[in-house]
Amino acid sequence: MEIRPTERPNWLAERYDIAGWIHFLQKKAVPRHHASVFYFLGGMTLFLFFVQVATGILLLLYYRPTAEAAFESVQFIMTQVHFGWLIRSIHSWSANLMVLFAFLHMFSVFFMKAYRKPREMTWVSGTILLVLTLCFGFSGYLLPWNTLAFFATRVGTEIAGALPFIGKHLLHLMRGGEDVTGATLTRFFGFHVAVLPMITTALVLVHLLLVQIQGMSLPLRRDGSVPKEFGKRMPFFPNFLARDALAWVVTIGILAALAAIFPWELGEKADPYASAPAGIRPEWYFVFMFETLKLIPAKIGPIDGEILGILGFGACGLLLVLVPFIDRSANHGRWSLGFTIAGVIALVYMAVMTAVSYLMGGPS
Amino acid sequence: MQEKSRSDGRPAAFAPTRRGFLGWLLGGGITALLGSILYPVVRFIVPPKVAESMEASVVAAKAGDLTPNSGKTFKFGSRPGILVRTPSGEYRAFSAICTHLQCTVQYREDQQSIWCACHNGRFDLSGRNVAGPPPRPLEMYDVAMRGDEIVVSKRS
Amino acid sequence: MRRPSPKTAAHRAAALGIAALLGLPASLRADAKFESSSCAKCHEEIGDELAVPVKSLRDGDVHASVGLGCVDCHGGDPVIVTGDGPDQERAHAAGAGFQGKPGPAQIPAVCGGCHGNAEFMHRYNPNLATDQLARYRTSTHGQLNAKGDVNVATCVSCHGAHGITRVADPRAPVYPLQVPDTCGRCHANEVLMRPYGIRTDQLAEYRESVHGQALYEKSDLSAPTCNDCHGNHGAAPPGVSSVALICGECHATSRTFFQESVHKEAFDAANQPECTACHGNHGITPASDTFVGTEPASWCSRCHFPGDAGLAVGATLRGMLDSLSTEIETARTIVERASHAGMEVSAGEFSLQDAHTALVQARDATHTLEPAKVREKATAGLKAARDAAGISKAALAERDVRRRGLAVALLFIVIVCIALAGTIRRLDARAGLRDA
Repeated sequence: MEIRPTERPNWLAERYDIAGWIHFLQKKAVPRHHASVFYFLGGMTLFLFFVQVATGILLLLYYRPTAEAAFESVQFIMTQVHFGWLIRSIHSWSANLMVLFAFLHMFSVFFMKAYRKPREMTWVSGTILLVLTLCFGFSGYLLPWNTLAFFATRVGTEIAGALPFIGKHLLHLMRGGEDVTGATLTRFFGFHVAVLPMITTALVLVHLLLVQIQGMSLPLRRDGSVPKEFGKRMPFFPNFLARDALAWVVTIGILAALAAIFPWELGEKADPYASAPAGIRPEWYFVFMFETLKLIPAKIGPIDGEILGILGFGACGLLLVLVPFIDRSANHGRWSLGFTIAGVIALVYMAVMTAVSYLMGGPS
Repeated sequence: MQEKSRSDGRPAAFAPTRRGFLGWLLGGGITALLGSILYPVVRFIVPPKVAESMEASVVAAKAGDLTPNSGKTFKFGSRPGILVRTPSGEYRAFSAICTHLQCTVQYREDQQSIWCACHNGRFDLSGRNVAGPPPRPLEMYDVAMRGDEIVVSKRS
Repeated sequence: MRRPSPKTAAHRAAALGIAALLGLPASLRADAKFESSSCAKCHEEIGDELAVPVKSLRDGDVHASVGLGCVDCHGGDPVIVTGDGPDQERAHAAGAGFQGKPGPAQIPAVCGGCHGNAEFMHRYNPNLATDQLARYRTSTHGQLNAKGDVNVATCVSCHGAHGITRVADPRAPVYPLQVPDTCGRCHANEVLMRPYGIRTDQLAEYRESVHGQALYEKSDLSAPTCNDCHGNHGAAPPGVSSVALICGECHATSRTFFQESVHKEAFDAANQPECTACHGNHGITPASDTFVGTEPASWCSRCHFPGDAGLAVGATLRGMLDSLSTEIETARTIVERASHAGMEVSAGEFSLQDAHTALVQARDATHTLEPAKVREKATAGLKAARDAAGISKAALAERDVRRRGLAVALLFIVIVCIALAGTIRRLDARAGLRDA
């Protein structure tokens, strides 16, 4: 675990000029203060991404992305392939955990105002990564081609299609046609295993590189100060990494337990001509938006309520990405109450809307 | 910066055996954990005996199993199917679920047709409903010979 | 067949003659036929009730669509003479064969004049039967009609007079879904049936019955309606000893079993109708295992006394059915549990299907009243149900294997966690972070 500059790198040091890297890595340190536990969240999200890539590649060995064979191939994985149930259930559970941790990571960075100068681009790449994670979730959800996924996709793409001007084109682009068909499945598959991973990997590298170069930010306090660190900073190698490793091993345990005790359901094969079952809703991380759209009145003035809702969420997303450039106070080292309150409202709103949807049963 | 360390040079608070034990515990634990991760992964990658997903196609019988003018039911996923050898020797396969009230049909050599015992429904050798209450023909499957195996698959 | 009276015969001949005469050019200008007649012109002008037939003929009437018109049934002169005003006298002239509105006694002859003539019908629909009039004369309706009863059903009572659609047309009163209501128009009417002493609860009973449910709830057109058991043109209640044959048109195996059983002779001797004595005729309820057995409510108990041999057989049969259905229920519960746990149970579901089929056949075989025959089916069913349960139990055991595997993996994880925790402490100490 310890890095011995005089031993292992010898072979490497004779060939490559890595002394600078080694020195840099050894100096990398993590500040310790009352909120430093939140520093683990980013690494957890990354770890879960690795789990997704690994289990996803394994699933690729058996999955068939056509409307005729997709459901059967997932059923095959669940019932015939050795430990197929394990790989698939881990993939599904880890997907949900990754979304959860991505949100937690985003919120903790937000409340600690770590997005302020000089870390604006880290934040921007991070919010885009959050959106990409949600895209992963949306595209992956359709792949088993079961009833719930089919109708959730139809509803989801319908909502995208309601946007003014670009809605129709966006809908055709997403669905690969007018309706959700085998063409949609193939397209979503392409996004899920090629396009999104490519973009995500690139952005993750950028995001990590920026974090490496700039180090960890200290949370901004109400009086504009940063917390008092206790003791010396913790070296990343090996102390923080060992703690990361502990968290990851615990996560492996949780994933294994979830997969074995609550294997992911398969449901029934999608029948495009059947009527939608009652209580269709998207995955839990979209539910707060879905519930909002349901509760918005049909018309607000001359404008269609649903479109207003969608544009509203789009605007919120854009604001989120641009937060470092809007929160001028933070850039000057001043803690602004407004942004913190906005964040709390957003968090509470999302939680309440999600709860309302599940407690009230299905859509009205 | 970490000190270089071996058995010597470590803080006096740690006894040699505890540190060694910890090392063994960690190494052994990690190895066992890696093993319990790699074992399912390796077994996953090895294809299972049944290479095709069962719902799409199934081996219904072997070449010599049926004489002309006979039939037998077989398992197609979770539903019964019926493989029929016509008097002229041709193989045909259908879903064995009667389209009336879902009883399992059977082959009647004396009538050279497929018959449902529940309400006297009859289907001809093309699956068409020809007598009795069934409102629709039997779902027809594709039949192919693969070596000496008779493979039945759903029509796409 | 009764010889028609001279008056009826003359009218028939007139109708036929005119039909033949007008039929020839009619094929050349088919749909314009009745539209261009003076009948349509005048009646429509008059409006109200008298215009109704014109409108009905326009609305998909099958006779109008093949080029037949008013005069083919009613006689009269359809030609419009230009220049003259509407001339009812000429149109309605008896010399032109005008019959007016046929009464109930004449209707069978009017319709049967064409529909009973095979050669004539050959031109329009070679496939159409031409024995309806003959059958009608054998029916209860026909016999009463011949005696001069004006209330009894004739052709137009069921088929309509104008606006007649083909039987296969869902709008037709004789389309399978409509048949019970069409018959019920009279047979469910207290006032109409009282003079004949016929019950009027059949329609209500039928609606609640298993056949009625199949027809109305499931839109199963193959479900029997009134005409399937009573006949349509030759409608009459089935005789006591032939009921089984009629029910057996669909329930073939039950019929065979019943007729081989000791009940056939016994029922015929007691003048009990065969199937309907136990199952009812119109209000047939879904079959249940409780029909068989020794309870006071069972059907066996309707005739058999406690202690007699027949009731003992009933008890045996019921015992076999009960044990089979219990076994199937148990198996089904296990299969469902395994399926919900995410295990592969298609082989189990397949066996359950077999078991269910065996149960249906065992229930059917009770009509033989021979325990040996029922046991044969029940044994096969029990085996299939037990197979299903076995497969599912194995699947659930597989789930336990998974949990054991999980426990082992968790053990390793715990070991690693403990080791890591210790290592972290060691590393912290080395790095001087001991107060962390």
